[in-house]
Amino acid sequence: MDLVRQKKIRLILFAAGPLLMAMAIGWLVWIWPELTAPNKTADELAAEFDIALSTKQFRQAGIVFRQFEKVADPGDERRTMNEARLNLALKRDDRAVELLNSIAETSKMAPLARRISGQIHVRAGRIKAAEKDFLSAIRLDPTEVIAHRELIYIYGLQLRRRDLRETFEKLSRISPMRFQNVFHWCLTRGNDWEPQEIIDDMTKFLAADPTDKWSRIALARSLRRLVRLDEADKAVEPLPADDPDAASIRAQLALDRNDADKARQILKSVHSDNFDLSMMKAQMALSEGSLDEAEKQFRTAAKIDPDNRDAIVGLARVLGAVGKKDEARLYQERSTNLDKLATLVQEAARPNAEKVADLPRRLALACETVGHLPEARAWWGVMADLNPLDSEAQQAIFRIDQLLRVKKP
Amino acid sequence: MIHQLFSRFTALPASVYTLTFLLIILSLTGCGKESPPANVNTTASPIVKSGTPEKENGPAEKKRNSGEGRMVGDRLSGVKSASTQTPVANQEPSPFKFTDITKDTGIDFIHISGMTEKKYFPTANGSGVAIFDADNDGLLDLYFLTNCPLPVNKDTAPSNKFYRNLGNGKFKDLTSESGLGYRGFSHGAIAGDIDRDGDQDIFLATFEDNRLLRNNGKGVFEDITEKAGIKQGKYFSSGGAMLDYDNDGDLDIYVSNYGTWDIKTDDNFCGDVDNNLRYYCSPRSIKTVPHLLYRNNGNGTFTDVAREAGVGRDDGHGFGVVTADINGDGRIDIYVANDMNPNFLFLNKGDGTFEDATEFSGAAFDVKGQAQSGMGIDAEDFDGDGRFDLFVTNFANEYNTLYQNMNNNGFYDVTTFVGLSADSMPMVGWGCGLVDFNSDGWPDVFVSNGHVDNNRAGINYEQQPLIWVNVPVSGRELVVKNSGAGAAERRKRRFKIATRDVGPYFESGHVGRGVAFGDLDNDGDVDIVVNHKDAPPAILRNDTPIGKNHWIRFSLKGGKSNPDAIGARVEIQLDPENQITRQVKDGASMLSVNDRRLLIGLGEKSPIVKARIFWPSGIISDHAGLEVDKMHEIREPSGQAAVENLKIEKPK
Repeated sequence: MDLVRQKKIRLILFAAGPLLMAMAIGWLVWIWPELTAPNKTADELAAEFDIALSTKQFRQAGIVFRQFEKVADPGDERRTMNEARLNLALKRDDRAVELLNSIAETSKMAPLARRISGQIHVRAGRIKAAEKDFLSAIRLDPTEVIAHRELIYIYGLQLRRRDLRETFEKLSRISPMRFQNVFHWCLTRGNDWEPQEIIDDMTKFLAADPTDKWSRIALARSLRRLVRLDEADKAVEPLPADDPDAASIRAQLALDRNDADKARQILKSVHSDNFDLSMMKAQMALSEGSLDEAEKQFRTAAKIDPDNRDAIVGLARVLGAVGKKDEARLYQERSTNLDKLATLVQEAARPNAEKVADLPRRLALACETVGHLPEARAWWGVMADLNPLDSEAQQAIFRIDQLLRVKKP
Repeated sequence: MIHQLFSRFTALPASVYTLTFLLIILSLTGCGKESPPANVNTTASPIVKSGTPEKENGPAEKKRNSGEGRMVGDRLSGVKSASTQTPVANQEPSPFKFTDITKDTGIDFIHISGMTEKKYFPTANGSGVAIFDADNDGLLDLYFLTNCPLPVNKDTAPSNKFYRNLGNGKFKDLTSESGLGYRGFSHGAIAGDIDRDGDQDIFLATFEDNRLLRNNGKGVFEDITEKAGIKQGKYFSSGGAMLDYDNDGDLDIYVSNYGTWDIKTDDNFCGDVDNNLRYYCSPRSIKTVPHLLYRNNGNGTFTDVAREAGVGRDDGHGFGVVTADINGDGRIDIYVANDMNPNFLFLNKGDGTFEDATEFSGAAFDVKGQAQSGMGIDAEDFDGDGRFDLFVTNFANEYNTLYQNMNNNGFYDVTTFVGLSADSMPMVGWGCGLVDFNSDGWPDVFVSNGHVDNNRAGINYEQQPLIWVNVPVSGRELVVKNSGAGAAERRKRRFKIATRDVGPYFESGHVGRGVAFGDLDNDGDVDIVVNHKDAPPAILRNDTPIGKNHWIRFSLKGGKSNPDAIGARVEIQLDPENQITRQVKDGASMLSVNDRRLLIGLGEKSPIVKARIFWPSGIISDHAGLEVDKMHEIREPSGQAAVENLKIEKPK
């Protein structure tokens, strides 16, 4: 019996020995790159690291990174960045964000680091943090194109129209704009997204960061559009009573419930130079025939956002109604031109509109007429891209640049 | 993230594609494309590769090129997850009562839209219904229009149906005897006395085959389309209205065109490609064409003068039309609801041409400057200032819009502030009317609803109709005296949803389309007829208790003015403080014809009223000592000098 057992053990050892040997050799081969000192420069290793990451060979990237760490100067800025990128590749997002934010603002890597950090936040639904990072990236490097685009994504989702306009304008200065881009720029001055889709996104964002006010506001607006009034109420509940954006929604919800008294009370209780709130107050006054109050509030709104169609249209109507004909005429003219532009934007929404040869030109002229000079410049840019020899477009761009320079010295 | 969204694009039906715009922005931003930022290349001098967002544009661009929509109001938008809070929750009982008497009337019409799984675009919009007195017997008859399967086959297409009102709540099918049994693809009807012979003739707005039918006075119609010079072509007409735009005493015809659509070239696939599930395409995929204005030459022929008259715009998917004196200058104007284009407003200049006031008006877009999906339409004075306000029904996630007339200085969207927004938001609204259903002197609102697609998960194809009652703000009558030139007193009024206990019809869903209003039983209140898509219609008898309220009805007969007195304004002085202003208008609602007679609710005020009529010719006639709760046929007086400059305020 013992003999049999011994034989079995010997047989197992005989069979397993080579296997163990092979495993040991394999292990040595596996860790050899990490054990051996690299005979390469930091730049070469950094390039290898990039290749490994881009080809998704994350283990290899890790090995190269450790080799890079050994040879790179202690002050090499790529150390932290590459470590962050490695952590990101390995789905250790929090560590990646931590490393990215440890990169000093003085580093030339900082804009990229902030932007990547922002993108990680977006992926996780932490929109407020993302916005902060993208704004940092742009502050550090105003030519950070992707950070601008990311901000447009955020502002677009949340329909923060003024921020959206300003970011589009900045983007147009650092990156070529296609027909669709400029169209969306114009469109988002007054559009609404399908509310259900927004609700899904905003709910996710708020789950990731309940302190995200703008996602909360966007959620409430969308819920209201779907007449889910109680849920809309709940969405803005955490916001303070004197928050003007929340107050504006609360007043609208009261109106939706036929409670004009409550709406009036909410609007009266909040004093703020806030566009939406002033517009609400103006429209409320208008609907009740208090034209003087409506005029006052429309003027406030127009002062806060002089470029906003809604305030201009409101002023045109109310000034005419109270008999201030001369002033009304000025606003009416602007209001009419704005609505002419809106008609053209509708034309641009048609399928294949980008193939309508003179449409960008008409849009450019319409934008210029109403004083939307950055959009006009972008439309002329679309024309110039179509035909670089288009002298009208070139001249218009020059002309608008001059005007914008005067406007914003 | 964008990969997730894009994978949703390929995996889910188009009902969830509605963020395409956003996706385009997403692709523009390059955001969330799961671009592991780790893949960003860096060198000693970091050069950021943008992640080539253009490459991510594929699906979004693909959707766009397929003609699909993406914004609120587009056909692809829906009411998924809309509230159950609306419209009946927490309501007081409605003051209105309507009884669906369809089954007892003998009306056996069933609408055929031609809708199949292919979802040919023209089959989405349904048809209208006409309430008019075809045989001059003082009873309002009914004419139901129908579509048919596409392509049109005249031999097999169902026919429109005409029913004569027998006066006892019964109707008799006289389709074949009347000559109104047109077989084809009918959208809208327009009625009016085009030949001044004292009866109502009919214009049929159809898919590529408009018809003009002349009444011989006995309710028998002759097709005079070719003789009259009505243009045939590839127009996809919706509806329209009659008006005497040049004030020459005969009625001209405005026809709204939706666009052109050819089964061979325009049948695009819109919807869920993977599951081969088709939905109706976005209106944006339909090419718009100029609308038509047929001038009556006075000799039985007509000439399209749209371009010369200044109403030849070609950028509107036309639906409902109302012709009325909208700016109070004594001349008949035109307001057109357009589907995802600005609503047209053409103000009559008095010289045979119109000023295109579309972008001037404030009634082209909603309050944010967005073109909505205009379908039904009306013009009425909802706040008692003598100015005509405008109302337009729209698609889901938009609201039905009320534009307040600002002392004839244009219009302003006050929908949210008068209580009409929330309840209408989940609905796709069609035929509508600002009509006083309880004779209290204030126009209420009725809207028929129904979605376009019948095959989308989470979308109610059948939707409840909505009715609102016009009430004083804060429960008491508040008078506002506006300042400024042309200002008038108005009341603070708003609307309150009032669908609870109106009747069983209001408690269930329908696929409503055309709606007509008229007093079918001549009992002094306005009944409603709804033409449902692919279903029998509903004849809703108004059984609203009116208490001590009174009414008065006018049947106005033009002399120097057009025979139907379209554009005549009636001012009723109840007492020194109270005046009601109404107008004989045409069109309104959608694709349908309303009772031409003017039925005016008076409330509990004076039992005897004084009325002043401003005829389109400029003649003014005063009528005192009118008995209430009766009909008064009033002919335009002759011999009185026309009063010039009737206008309250000339439009700029």
